Amino acid sequence: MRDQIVQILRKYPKSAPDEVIPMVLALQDHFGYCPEAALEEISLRTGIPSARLHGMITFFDGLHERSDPSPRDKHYDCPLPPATADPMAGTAGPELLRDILTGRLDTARLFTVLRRLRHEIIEAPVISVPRTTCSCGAGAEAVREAVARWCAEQVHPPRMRDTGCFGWCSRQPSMELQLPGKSRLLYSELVPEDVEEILDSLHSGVAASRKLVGQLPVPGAEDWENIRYIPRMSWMRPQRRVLLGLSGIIDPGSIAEYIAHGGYASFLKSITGHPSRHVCDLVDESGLRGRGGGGFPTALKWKTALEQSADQKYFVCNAQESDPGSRIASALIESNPHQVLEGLAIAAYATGATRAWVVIRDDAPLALYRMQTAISQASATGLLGTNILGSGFNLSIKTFSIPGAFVCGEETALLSALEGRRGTPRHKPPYPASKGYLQYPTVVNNAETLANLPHIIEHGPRWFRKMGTPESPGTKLIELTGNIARPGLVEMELGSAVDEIIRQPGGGFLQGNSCKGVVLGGPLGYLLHSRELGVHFDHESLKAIGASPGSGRLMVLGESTCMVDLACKVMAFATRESCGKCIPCREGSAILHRILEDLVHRPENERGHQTLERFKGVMQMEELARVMQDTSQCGLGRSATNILLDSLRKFREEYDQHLFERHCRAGVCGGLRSFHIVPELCTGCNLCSRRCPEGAVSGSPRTIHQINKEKCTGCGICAEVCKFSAIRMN
Amino acid sequence: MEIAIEINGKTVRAERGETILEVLRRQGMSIPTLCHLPGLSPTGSCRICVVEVAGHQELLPSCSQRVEPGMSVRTHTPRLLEARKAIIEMLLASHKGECLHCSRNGECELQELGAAFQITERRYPYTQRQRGKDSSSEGLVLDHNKCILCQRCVRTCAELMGITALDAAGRGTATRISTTLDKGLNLSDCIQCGQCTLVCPTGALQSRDMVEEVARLLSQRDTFPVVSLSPVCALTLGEALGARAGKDLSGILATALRMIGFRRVLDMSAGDDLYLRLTAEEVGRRIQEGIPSPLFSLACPAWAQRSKHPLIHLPGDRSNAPSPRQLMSLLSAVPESATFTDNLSHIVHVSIEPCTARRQELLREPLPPGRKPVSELVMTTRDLARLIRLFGIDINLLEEQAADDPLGVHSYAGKIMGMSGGTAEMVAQMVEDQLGAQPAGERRSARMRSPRWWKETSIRIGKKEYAFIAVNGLARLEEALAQIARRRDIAFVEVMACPGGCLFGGGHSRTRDESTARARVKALADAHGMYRRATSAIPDPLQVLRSRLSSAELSYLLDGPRKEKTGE
Repeated sequence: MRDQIVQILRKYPKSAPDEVIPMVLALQDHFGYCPEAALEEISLRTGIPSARLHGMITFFDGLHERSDPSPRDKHYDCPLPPATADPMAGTAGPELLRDILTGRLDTARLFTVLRRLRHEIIEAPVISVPRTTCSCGAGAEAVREAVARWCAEQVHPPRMRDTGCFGWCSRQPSMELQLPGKSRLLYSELVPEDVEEILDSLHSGVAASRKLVGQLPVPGAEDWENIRYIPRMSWMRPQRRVLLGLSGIIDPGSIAEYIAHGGYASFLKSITGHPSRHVCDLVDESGLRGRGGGGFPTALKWKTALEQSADQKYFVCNAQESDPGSRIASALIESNPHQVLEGLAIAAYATGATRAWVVIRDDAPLALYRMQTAISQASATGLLGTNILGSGFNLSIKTFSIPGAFVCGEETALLSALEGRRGTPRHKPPYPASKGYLQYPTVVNNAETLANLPHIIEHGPRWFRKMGTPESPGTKLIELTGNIARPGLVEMELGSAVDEIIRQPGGGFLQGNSCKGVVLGGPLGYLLHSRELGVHFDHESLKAIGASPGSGRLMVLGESTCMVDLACKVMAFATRESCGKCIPCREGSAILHRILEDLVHRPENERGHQTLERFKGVMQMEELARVMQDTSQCGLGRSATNILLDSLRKFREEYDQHLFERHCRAGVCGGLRSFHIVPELCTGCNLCSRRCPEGAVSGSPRTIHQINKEKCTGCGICAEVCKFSAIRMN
Repeated sequence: MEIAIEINGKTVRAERGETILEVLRRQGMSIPTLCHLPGLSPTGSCRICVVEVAGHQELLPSCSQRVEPGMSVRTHTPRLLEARKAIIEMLLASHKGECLHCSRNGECELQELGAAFQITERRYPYTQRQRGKDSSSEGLVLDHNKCILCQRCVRTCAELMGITALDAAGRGTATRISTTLDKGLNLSDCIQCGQCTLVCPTGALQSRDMVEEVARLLSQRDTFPVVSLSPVCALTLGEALGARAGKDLSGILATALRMIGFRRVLDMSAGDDLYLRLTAEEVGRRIQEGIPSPLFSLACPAWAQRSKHPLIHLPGDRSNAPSPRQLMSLLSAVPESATFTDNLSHIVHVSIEPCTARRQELLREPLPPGRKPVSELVMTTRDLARLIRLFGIDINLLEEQAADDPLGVHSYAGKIMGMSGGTAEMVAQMVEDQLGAQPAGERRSARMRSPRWWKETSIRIGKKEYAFIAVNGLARLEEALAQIARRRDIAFVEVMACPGGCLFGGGHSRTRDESTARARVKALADAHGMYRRATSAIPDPLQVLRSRLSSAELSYLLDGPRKEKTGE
């Protein structure tokens, strides 16, 4: 075993702090866990005491110190593209790309080269099936296989190509079809059986109309007649797609396509034309604010770091979402990794950092893969490394995967993890910009923030300020979820009204359902009442009603949402994800969770003092939540009670109903539901009795059954299995 | 640089870089704290010391927040008082609140805070987490149910001792203080120095209590209980019993221990004398034989444990001498004179030490058969205080008595050895005498008794100088060992695990203020004055022993352990 351990650790000769977690992950890949001998070996190499390593390993959900790890929630993993040894395979040669960037091609040649690379001129039909986490989850892999099968049967097979995603999640899986000289056609909501019919139309030259969404114009190509233009559709039109401009258009695995669309020009312009200070000033003028939720002015952080005199500075791109359900950063990277990478490179240059990481959640393997490919392609092209394109600027970038700890979205916690320690936050100041990774100046910026930079450098701060509001300029990626007709990822100018966003591009509330409220920014975000939806989506307007844009996820809650249950789930989340360091967050969230649990569950055979305890708990809830907000060390504890406090303020009557009437209007809280059997409909099939996990349904076959209320926990399985709709909720 | 800040509306001068808490304490204002400990890095994890700072929406921890010019701080607003109280109540909502069944009852910081905030009812639902108790080690007991995760122990272990046997593990409500792989303390890197027991605010980390066992032994009819009292314990015991800090209670303790039922009360100085004699002989012999590598003293049991850790490479040889306690254990069975009449065949030897690590010795190096106690126990100073209280003895009313002395007379070396540097100083002096070198004089004492982590003195024999090194606190052990490995002139190295030496050992009472620390050091200095007997002025303890023991016993005493140890 020791030999294997030594063999595995050979890949990490420096045993640097940022290699500790990768070391454990590599050992886990081999052994399934980090064995004790490996722990000792890492301790010996790094000088980190083994107790500290153990503390670190037990902190992360994805690291295991024992061979029988308790199973973790498994996320859907998108199959990765086939591995290639050469990162530049399928793109253009590095020399050509460098020539394009440095303007060494004559105009005529450049024009043709660029048009080819942009797929504006193609010789054979091109079929692309987006490869993103959301499309794979919807079944894109099967569609891709069907396309591949169809292609294999052709005499002149069309070319298949990976693309990213428009963000139109409800339309997945989709497929794009491009014939030479024609604009692109987009088909959506496909099943593998549709593929043949659509592709056969290639032979006739007539667009198949079934499942057709519309066409995307290609410059210099002929448009299809009588087919809708996608950019003019109500999903696209209200959007201001800057960051998403190339998502779904280019192949995220090809640096050549990105460069052909003008990519890396801003980076080159920065390192050759502007001193670092000047880049900071440009960004300062643009008024760009952090997109992670805090809305801190980006340039302010940068200038702090730039002013530090230190022999090493670092930069971190935080793609570890500030909201667990959100996939904004990973979607951005999955569809257009080079945009984030270029932004990171510009930011590193502006702050004087020469080493940087892209920190990605471990449940986003495709984003990680895309970013790794992007980094190797950029290095191969000479856009990363030493003396980049003769500018004298050095930069090396690595990816870093946090093995499952939500709190590591907080910058100081993230840096702790990067240093191979427990991902617990620490007190600020000193801010990471002056004392970060290993006490060196380190700026941590959100991936979305960084993706703005190439555009700001390209078009200038004045252009940027034309979008959004004076205090919150620019656009914001917004993830629409919940009870909404068209869920997906959209990009809107800051300052758009929330109800407008829900109407267009969101398509309004899901049919047959109305809206109770909206959660902004996930479990640590804010709860808006349906009456407040006229508010504009920017920092100032939201602050005025006691909220903030947060991560940018906008979840519409329908009538079937119970606010008490929602608050309870948020608290369960906070209890699970609290790092455990500070008392208010660790203990407070657990206590609040317990109080809320008591509300949503009907305790069996409750005694008098338990009822008293429930009432007492509810009385303390508000104060406790406020103390947590006031005193917790980091944003997790401070924001964990937002939704609870908002729901207490805006939906008080639901709490009262749960407490006094023991009734849940939405019928969600299992503990408060009860069921009865309609005697006229019951056939005595006995199915409910057999399925009831509590043995609460009694009755022999062919007699009318009854539910024992003492035993019933309100899970509702009986009602679900009954084929005669004989079981109804009270 | 001095800046002005405002505290509760009053302008106050502060140094740039100071924390708000430091300024407040200097102003004579107290804010409750739990995780904070002066000298250790602030973590800001308990959040009890929060204050309101103008311009900040949230409350800031005064232990971590540094002052800035013009800062306006409020310290006791209703919002703050409510927040602090709520935090303590949150802790109590999962704390094993069995105060009446806790050894820290009455001296628990959580209890004190609860009382200060008048917490009289449970406002939050009570969920006790069942975490278990680690009583695997000889010296320490870790009761996870009482732990409030302030991580004082973690920081003490890492920053003060350089061991890091403990760290927080798990996340959220599953967070716990744990050793590597949640093993028992006995299998961990823990050296049982007990410094963590001095800082633990609750009853979570404790030294194993021996009082009941001692009381039981004392009541057994067929035993002959002998107690050895470390001279250092006599200096610090007063702190726990309400006497003046630093008062030397050796005489009173001799009386008290006899009242409690010990048949012989020995002063451990005798063992110290013997230990020094044995060590000095060994060092002298090595110098004469021209052995270039240094000899490492292993008298400190915590250091002896650490020295075996795979990360530690000793650039020298391990001393063969038995520890002073082991020597006392042997001496406990030595008749005081030829006319001694008591039956010494059922001896129970109890030693009272400033140390929680000493008990490991009982496991590690058992005494070989022969004339030796049937049973051995080690008590800490804290245990002794409790024993005296348990037996209802009022030390203020006692007359001083002299201790029994198996060697007839002892030197003051035992007291000096209680402070780091003492052993090296005494060994240097004895080797000097032994080899007829030029005496170094008073300056050596001043240097070796100073409060530095690295101290050295040297003796000159002919043209050659031999250095004697004393290192205390293991935080910079690696650095010290590297330095020792580089040099060729070192003859002897004394290492003491606890910073400052046994005077600040893990077994003393938990007093953290500086005045107590000063009183302890002063008491030791005074004690030198009282005894005024240098090691050279007393009869050679080996000669004395030779007159009382059979040659077989003596050879075991001097050679037995030696043979055993060279086999390592």
